[in-house]
Amino acid sequence: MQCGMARSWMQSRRDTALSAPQERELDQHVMECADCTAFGRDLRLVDSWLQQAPVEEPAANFEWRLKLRLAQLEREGRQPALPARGANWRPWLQFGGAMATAALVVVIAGSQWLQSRPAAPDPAPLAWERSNSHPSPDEVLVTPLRDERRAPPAFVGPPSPPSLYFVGAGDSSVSALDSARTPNSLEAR
Amino acid sequence: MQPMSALRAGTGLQELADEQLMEVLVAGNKAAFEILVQRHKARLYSYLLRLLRDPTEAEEVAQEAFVRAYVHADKYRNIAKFSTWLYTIATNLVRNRIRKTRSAPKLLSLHWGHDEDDDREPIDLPDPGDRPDRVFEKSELQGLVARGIEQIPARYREAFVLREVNHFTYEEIAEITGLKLGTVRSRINRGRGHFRDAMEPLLKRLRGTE
Repeated sequence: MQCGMARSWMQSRRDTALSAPQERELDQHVMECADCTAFGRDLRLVDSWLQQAPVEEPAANFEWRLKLRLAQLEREGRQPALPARGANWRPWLQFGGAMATAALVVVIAGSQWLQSRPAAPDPAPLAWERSNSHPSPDEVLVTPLRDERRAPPAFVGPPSPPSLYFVGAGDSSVSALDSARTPNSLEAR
Repeated sequence: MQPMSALRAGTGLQELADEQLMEVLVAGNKAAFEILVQRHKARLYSYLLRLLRDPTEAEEVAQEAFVRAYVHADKYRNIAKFSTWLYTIATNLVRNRIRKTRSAPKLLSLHWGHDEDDDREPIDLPDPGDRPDRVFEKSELQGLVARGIEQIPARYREAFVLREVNHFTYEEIAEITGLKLGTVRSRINRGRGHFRDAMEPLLKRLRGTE
């Protein structure tokens, strides 16, 4: 066996096992060749040194900075598309169904409450101030716009659901509100 | 959605394999990604440091690799290991970065674009003093090994580190690097040869003490 082949086999068997005959042939050559013996020893030494290759740690705040970046992505709307393929959609359907039922109940209750409400003191058109957050569940502020001589804003009780009842601010919304009231409720106090 | 840190990892998440954690992440549990980061950040950073040879650059690329893995989690297909996928992202980022710096004006390329082959030298060993047979401290040896890896030309270093340090299989390295299997084997063998050459002074010293 030539030394070149022996050294090639010594290197390759680190990744792929040699056959039994190849192993015997290699061992026989190594026993007879001092240079290949030294080469084999060097290979084993180098391999053992590589096992000691240091694993460097990134900076201590690496994970914290990564979390900040991911939070920023979420604020920008670049979060991953979760849940994705293979997700179980049944819980989402059940949740959606429950929300729809709850919304329907609120609408029905709200319309009944509006019909039974006492008359507002000011027959002038009122405008709901739209806000980005939902009104408090306990109260809503009715803010008259046109006439500053009117009484200060009065809390008139639990709100109707603006997102479902009103398409948007404006006269059509006010007509919808007014049309829900009985004629008697429109009389000034 | 709540930030990732607002979720608490379930007691069972730590026991899950990487691929299972990805499924949990895609299902909406972001705590799974925290665990993946903890598991892989050090080895990924080490790999990138050995390619880029700059701690700041290595951290930036590592961060970007994790960000991309997170943003595109829904595209991960369980036919490959998560680590293979992550390292593929990181390796492509490194190549893009090196490509950009090579096309940068000359002044910038002085740091990045120099021919690394010109820097190849065997490692310098610490003076043994009166004790030529002294055993190297572990930290000393680790430093010598790190310098030895740095001496490997970049062309071979990528595959060499993936195999010898990160212990990927040849097939995984082929997938990560986009190289053919034969090319991977060839580059790893060449890398081993260069590493042995770099460590020759230490080998000689050890032979001399026998």
